[in-house]
Amino acid sequence: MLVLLPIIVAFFRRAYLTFELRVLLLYLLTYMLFDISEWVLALLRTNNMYIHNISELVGMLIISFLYYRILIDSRFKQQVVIVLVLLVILQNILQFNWGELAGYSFTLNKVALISFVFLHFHTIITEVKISNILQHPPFWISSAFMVFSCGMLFIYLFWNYTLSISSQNEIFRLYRNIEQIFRIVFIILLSFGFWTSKFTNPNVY
Amino acid sequence: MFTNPNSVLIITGTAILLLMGIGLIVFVVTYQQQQLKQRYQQQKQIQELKSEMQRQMLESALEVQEVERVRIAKDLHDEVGAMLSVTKMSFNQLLRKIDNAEDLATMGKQTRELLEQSISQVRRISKELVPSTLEEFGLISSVDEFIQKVHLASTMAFVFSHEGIDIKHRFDRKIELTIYRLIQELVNNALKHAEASEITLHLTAQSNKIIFTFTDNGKGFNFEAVRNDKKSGLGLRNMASRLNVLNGLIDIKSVLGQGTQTTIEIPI
Repeated sequence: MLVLLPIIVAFFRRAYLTFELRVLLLYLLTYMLFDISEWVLALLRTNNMYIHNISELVGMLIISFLYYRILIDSRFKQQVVIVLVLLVILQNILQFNWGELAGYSFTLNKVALISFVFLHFHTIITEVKISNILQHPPFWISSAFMVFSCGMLFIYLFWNYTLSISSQNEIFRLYRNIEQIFRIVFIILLSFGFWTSKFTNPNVY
Repeated sequence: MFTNPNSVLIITGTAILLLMGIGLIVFVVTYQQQQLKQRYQQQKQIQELKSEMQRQMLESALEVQEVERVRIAKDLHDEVGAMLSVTKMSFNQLLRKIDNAEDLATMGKQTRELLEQSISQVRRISKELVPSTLEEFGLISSVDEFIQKVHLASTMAFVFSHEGIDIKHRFDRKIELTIYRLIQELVNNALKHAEASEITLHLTAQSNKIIFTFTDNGKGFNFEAVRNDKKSGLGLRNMASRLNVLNGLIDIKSVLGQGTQTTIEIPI
């Protein structure tokens, strides 16, 4: 329920939310809904892994749309986003798993996210439009995705060993905790993004 | 758990990748700020160049104006003035011939007076257009002469004092001319708008600048309102433009009903 933090911050900053921040808010709300349903299914001792995999795909679609909007000034970068999202969709559908974490799909998702962030950072440093980057919400959003994706890439890549049903309990718990730590950092950075929306010019990305 | 080779590999990989990610974020922040600083400096330089260009254009315009004044003054003095003098001489001869006709003689004398007035006015205008005393004898003499003219034309009390400059002291031609024109403008304002009865002008020359303080006891004015008014602020803007060419500064303090004090600093 840590996801409530950025949602609450977004509520307080609702007057300053740009279209992109609203898309991010939609992502968080979707994530929260999937999380609640996962919890309910877990309490009912029913398989919820497929919900987790669907949640990841839906989340990726929303984030891809978010970056498609953020990279609006470059047709080429938008095309890269489209190609990557098509690959992500294909991978997530083809490798969909009902009872197990779709580790390779998750890995590709993280690679795609790192690529989006690279494209955005490239725009930031080449266009030099932002007067104070630390008060620029998209920068914090990209930083959040960067930290989370870099932190989780190897863990998802070796999912068979780390987060699989067949993983040893101790190992699973360790990587699950690492994932939670990265998620906390991710959520805090996103909250900061919403918080800074008050100080920035919404027309500059 | 951490000694397991797989875990070591995964945690090391994660740590390296994470460090790279954080490094990239830090790089983006520092590089972007650096770029921004560079761009700001470039813009500042462009702005400075633009200001310098404007200043030079203004300087050229003022020079052209002065050249034109000289030409008009010369034309008035050499051509119109000469023609009027010749007309006067010719008229004198005519008057001598018609001495007998009393009415004609009276009319003739009146016409001669008009001609004399025209000649002296042409001389005055010609002299006012180009302050020849300034060119020949310097700032103090020309200001003294100007004050005498003011005394002749009005009942205003004019106190002029100076320190650090003697009567023979010469400055750059542009500086002398600017100070002279500014004094003309300030006196004109004090007479025309402020309705002042007393003016004090104090001129100080230091090693690196000239400071002059002009004070009148007129009715004062709202500085901000006049400055923003396109029509009435023209004189102020002209003074500011002239000073801008010399990188000078102007400070005007005015209180309604209590007069105005203008302090001007010009680097030398």
